[in-house]
Amino acid sequence: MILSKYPFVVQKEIINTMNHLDLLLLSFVSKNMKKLIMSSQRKTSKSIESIDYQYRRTDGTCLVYLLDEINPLEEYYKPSRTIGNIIMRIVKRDEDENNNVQFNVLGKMIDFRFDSEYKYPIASYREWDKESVFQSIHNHFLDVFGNSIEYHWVEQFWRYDEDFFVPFIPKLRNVSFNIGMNLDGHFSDVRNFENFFSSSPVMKTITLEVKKKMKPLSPGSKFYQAEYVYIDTPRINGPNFVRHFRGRQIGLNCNEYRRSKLTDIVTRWKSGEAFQNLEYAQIITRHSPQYLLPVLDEIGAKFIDANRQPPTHAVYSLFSWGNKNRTWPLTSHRYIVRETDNRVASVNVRLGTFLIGVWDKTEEEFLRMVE
Amino acid sequence: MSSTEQGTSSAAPAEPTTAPESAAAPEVPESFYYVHGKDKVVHKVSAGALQHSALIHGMISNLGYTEEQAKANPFPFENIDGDILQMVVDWCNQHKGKPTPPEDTNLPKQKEKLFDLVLAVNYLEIKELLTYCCKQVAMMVKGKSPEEIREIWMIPTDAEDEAAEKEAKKRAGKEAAGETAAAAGDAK
Repeated sequence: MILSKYPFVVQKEIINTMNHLDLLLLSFVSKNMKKLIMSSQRKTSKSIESIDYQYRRTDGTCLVYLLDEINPLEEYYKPSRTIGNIIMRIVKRDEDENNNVQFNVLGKMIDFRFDSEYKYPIASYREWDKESVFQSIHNHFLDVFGNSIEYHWVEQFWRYDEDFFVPFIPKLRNVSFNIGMNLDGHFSDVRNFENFFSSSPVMKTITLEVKKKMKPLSPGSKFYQAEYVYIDTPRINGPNFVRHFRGRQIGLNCNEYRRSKLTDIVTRWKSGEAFQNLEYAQIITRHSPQYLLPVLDEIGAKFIDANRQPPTHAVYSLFSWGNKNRTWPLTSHRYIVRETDNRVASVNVRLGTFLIGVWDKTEEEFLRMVE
Repeated sequence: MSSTEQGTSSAAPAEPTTAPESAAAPEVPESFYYVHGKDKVVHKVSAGALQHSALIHGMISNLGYTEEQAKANPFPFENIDGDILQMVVDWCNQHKGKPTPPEDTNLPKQKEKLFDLVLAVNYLEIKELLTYCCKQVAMMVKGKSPEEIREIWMIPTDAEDEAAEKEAKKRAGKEAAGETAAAAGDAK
């Protein structure tokens, strides 16, 4: 059967019925096949939620997942990425391998292996050529699946202790980076930490494990431009990494957080001086949670009649490894109002956790939602 | 199923054995039309079954043929092999007035037959059958490596495509030059 003998409309119809993995494999067959796929791109990429690179820093292996409508992102703790979603594995080249075939990926010859054990292709790179292999493969995905879908880079096993671990952040277009860092050793020096962010693209999600006391970051640090930040530091007091945050959601799990710092966050939000983009904040303190309740009075929280049912605030969050989960449902009779635009935020204290959930509503609109 | 008769398009076809009629048969008698392929075997098909084909449906709409006129003027599809047209007619009869199922397992498994069927179905504009056929063609390469896909669908390499393109350009250039020379000759 000669595919090219079909009229173009039929070729496109065939392409439209193929699954994403088969399309990817077809795209490696020839430039003309890739062009054909690109001409049907809008239809083929319609069902794709995202393409996720899950990079395992321990051995440099990257699994590429394609999440589509058939396997939507799920609720808390349910894995969003399964073996069935993998469309490629990118590994460090084993020099003994000799069953590779080479494909021209946007002008770069890349080694691939097709193993009966896996249904997806395995691409390999040599350390000196690593970034360029990732770039070519990513640009190929952009061509085949388009740039209207989300591309995520997610780090795996970053919590393993290794003092001088520096995340691998290849320069890839249209990619949201979700990284994790142990602030121990190298990065416990705030200068190294700052330098890393200043030379990297703006991150989507940053998860930190802080093990040593650190000096504050400069207010202009690119760290604060991340949309989602989660800081885990259960053994020491929370570092002052929240004050200049400009993203949407922040979580802090610490041993103790000073009361004055907490009131400062709320005061600055209320005055419109900072946290303009904030959607959700969650601050957990292991010790002295008893001071949290009085904070609600100090910040001038307003009350909703106890007999009435306030609305529940919950938003999607990327705190957890780039997996889209919902935040804790926040239902509170207390709220605060931002002076500059009359926006409302529900506030509450629960099990040693201070919660702020910002509504896309003015006070009037918010009160109309109260039953 | 439709009945067929070897011979020319003018040969009188036998009575069709169409798909079983539903209990509530329409009061108005159904009209029939006649089609034949390359082999000149005439197939009698109901207008209801032919509705699957946008091309034929367009041709017979407002035609107002009597039975005799229809019999005397079968639609010729000389570009479609007889056995392929038979498959198409069978499919149209089987799915007459019924919602089409999501899968169709009765399509030919042989590559060449499927190839011809796809071309015929595309020509006759039978959307649902084309979708089934294209799925079947796509299934041929499911889970295959790029090299296997190349072999199954006989896809040329980049070098072969480039050579063919060069050749086509060269040919087009020659033809254009020939036309120019001919035009100049005419002008004289």
